[in-house]
Amino acid sequence: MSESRKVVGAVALYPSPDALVAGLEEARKRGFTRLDVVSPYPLHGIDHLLGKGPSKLGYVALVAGLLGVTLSKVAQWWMSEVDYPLNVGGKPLFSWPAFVPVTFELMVLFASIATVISMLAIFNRLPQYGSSLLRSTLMRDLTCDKFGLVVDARDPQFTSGGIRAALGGSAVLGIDLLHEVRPSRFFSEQIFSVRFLLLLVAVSFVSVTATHLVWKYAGALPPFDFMKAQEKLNPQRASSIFADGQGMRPLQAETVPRGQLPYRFADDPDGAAARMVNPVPLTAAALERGKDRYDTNCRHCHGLRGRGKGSLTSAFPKAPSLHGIKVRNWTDGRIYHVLTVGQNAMPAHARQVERDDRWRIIHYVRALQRSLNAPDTDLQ
Amino acid sequence: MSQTATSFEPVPMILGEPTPAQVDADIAAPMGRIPGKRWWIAIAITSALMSLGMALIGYTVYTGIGAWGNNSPVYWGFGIVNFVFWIGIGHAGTLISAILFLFRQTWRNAIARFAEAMTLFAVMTAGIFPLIHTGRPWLAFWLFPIPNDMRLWINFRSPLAWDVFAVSTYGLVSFMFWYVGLIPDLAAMRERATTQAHRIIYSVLSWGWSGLNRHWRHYERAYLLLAGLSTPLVVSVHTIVSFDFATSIIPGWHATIFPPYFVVGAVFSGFAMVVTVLILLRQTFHMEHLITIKHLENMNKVILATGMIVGFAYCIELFTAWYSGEPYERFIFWNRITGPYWWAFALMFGCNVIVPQIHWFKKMRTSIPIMFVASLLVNVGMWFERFVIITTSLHRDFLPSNWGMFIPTAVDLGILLGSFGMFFSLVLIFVRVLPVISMTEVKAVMPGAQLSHHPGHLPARQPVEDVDV
Repeated sequence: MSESRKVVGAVALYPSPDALVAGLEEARKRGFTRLDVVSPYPLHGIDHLLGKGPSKLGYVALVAGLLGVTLSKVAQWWMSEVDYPLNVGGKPLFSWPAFVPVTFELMVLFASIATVISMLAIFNRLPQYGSSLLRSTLMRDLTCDKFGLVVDARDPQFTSGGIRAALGGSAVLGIDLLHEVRPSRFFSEQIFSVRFLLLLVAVSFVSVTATHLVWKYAGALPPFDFMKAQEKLNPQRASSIFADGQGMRPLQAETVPRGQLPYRFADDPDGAAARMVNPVPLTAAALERGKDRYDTNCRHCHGLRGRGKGSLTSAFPKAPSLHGIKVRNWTDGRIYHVLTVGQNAMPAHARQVERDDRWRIIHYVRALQRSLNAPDTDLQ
Repeated sequence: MSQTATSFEPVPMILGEPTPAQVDADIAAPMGRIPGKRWWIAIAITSALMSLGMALIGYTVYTGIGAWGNNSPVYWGFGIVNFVFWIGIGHAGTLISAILFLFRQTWRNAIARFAEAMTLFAVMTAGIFPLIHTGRPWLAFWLFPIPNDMRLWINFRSPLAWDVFAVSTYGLVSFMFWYVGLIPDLAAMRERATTQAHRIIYSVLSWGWSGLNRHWRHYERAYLLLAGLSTPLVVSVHTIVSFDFATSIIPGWHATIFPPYFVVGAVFSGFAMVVTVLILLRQTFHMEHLITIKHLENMNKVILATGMIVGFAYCIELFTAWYSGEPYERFIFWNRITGPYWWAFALMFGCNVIVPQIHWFKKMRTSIPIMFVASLLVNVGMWFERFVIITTSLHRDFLPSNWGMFIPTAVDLGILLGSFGMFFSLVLIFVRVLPVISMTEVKAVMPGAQLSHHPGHLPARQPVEDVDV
């Protein structure tokens, strides 16, 4: 604490509140106008002697509280009525009485946070780690059981030489001059040094890497993998639930699933032609379904209109047109036989297309044939 | 007349007329020395219990909630019992620090700091239970209305969502209230620090507080505002906790008396916990002259008063069940008294209604061993109150085919013990690193601490200019 540094003020130490008040009154009589009192606990009535009115902090709390009320009501209305209307037991979407508790809590929260932050940072301009007063040797007493009168050096009555005499009195225990504190070199120079910046980069790198690894791998570990690691049945997968260790159930012996009766005419196309009729009634819905199945299962070879110009023709043996005399004269049963067991290069489609859908495809093929080779009756 | 007047003379709340410097030294003493054997033994026990609880919580998270005794029909077991119990313990702290502050009960200055710290630790302990009760605590942020890719929001009509807001607001505001109160004491500790490390830590935490009147003016207003905000807050928190039960249609829960009944019960158990810990604290740290028998007596009076209100609430509940003529409601209460959990009801009624009656007698409420046992019994009773409310209402509700029993598992009991371990570990650490009594507030109300004549009658002064040193 060299004396060469600029003096920014002085503090005088008093043993009791009453002595402090006497000193304060004396200083004010001498014309000091830029002064304050330091005490280890709040002294009631000092505000009045310093001519200070009550703190305006209450208005901050009021505004923040009202803001909390407004924001929470608007947010609850928007979330529950506008963005995702949530019907609970037929109650109104904006059921405001049920929204009161959250509104109240947010009012208290907003008001409290605003009070504390504005008291510390705005009204009191804390933190003041670099304050000259904190460097004073009298600070130990001033936070324990003594009281101080502080005069700012900018006071017109203040002179470095004369202040000791001006503040001195029989009750004063000691006077300390307050010197300017040089700002820490850390914030002015070292914070921009290469070493410090490199340290920052290294710290960021380590934390980003650690976060990335945690996000990537921790989620795959139990118990966080609960969505994947479920005791459920998966076809084609092993399972501990059944005795045979399989997830898929085998068919029961001597049973046939619905819609999968064995085909009786596998080696008898003529029998199929003669003895089978289309069991599916010819309706608009059946034609729609037939078109859908045709487009899915047949079109790539037989083409959009059944003329044998499918998109696979270059890579696959050419499929015949469905508009030839032969196919046009076939019965539905004969076509069904080809769909079910296949013919030449065409594989059987019994596994891909269900029985009734095969009959619907035949309805659709008949409609295609009629569109290109309409009988005379259609033109009348 | 004069005799009546003297009997209303304030009783000195600090014994032995110590100087302010001695008060500071006495309060700071536990922070400046290596803890003794008793402290190490105590923290060994509590941290062992805490580790047990944490291990069992880890086990629960890994295996699932099936590790607990909760099952159909008692879906809410120890998790919710412990949550309500610990939240309740915290309420005494806010009552002492905020409500008694607003009523200018200056005797509260010596116990407010500890009570507030207790609030904070109790809320921290309580917060664990709903978190682990969700089963997937790492997804607990779903409880808050955070924008998400499912475009869903929480249900703001649910008391459980209100709980999230109430408890988290309560935790935060209690912390700020406690911390704002600590700042001047931290500044005093900074000046008392003997090592550089202590000096830096207390410096940073005290925000460079110097004690200028310019700062005190706003500080005191902030403290008053926080007290005013905390007072309705503390009432709202246990009210909302009681809504978790009261807004359902379960007989024994669906009652309008629940909010006041829960708030008073919380204050009751919290005061008992403050008495339990302060008795140990003042003797261990030789603070009998700061936390006097008069403080303990005052707290015992609050325990007596709140115990009577709790007893009144029990009786009104029984009366309402009978007077309603509702068969399910009547059955539930008859089942509480005579059913398989009759012993829990008897413990609750005995500890909460009958035990506090001893505090009618001055001899009893000023006797340390008696009040210590009484405060322990009150907390046993209050834990069982929550157990009775939750278990007996759920285990036999409307359909007899749906009836069942709740039997806690070893994991349940271990986590309960762990919660006590955590709470007391935090208390033991707190009393070693921070001033357990507010130096500032105690010194401010000592004889001769203020101006002998309040200058309010003097003519208004020219305002001084702000100093900036």
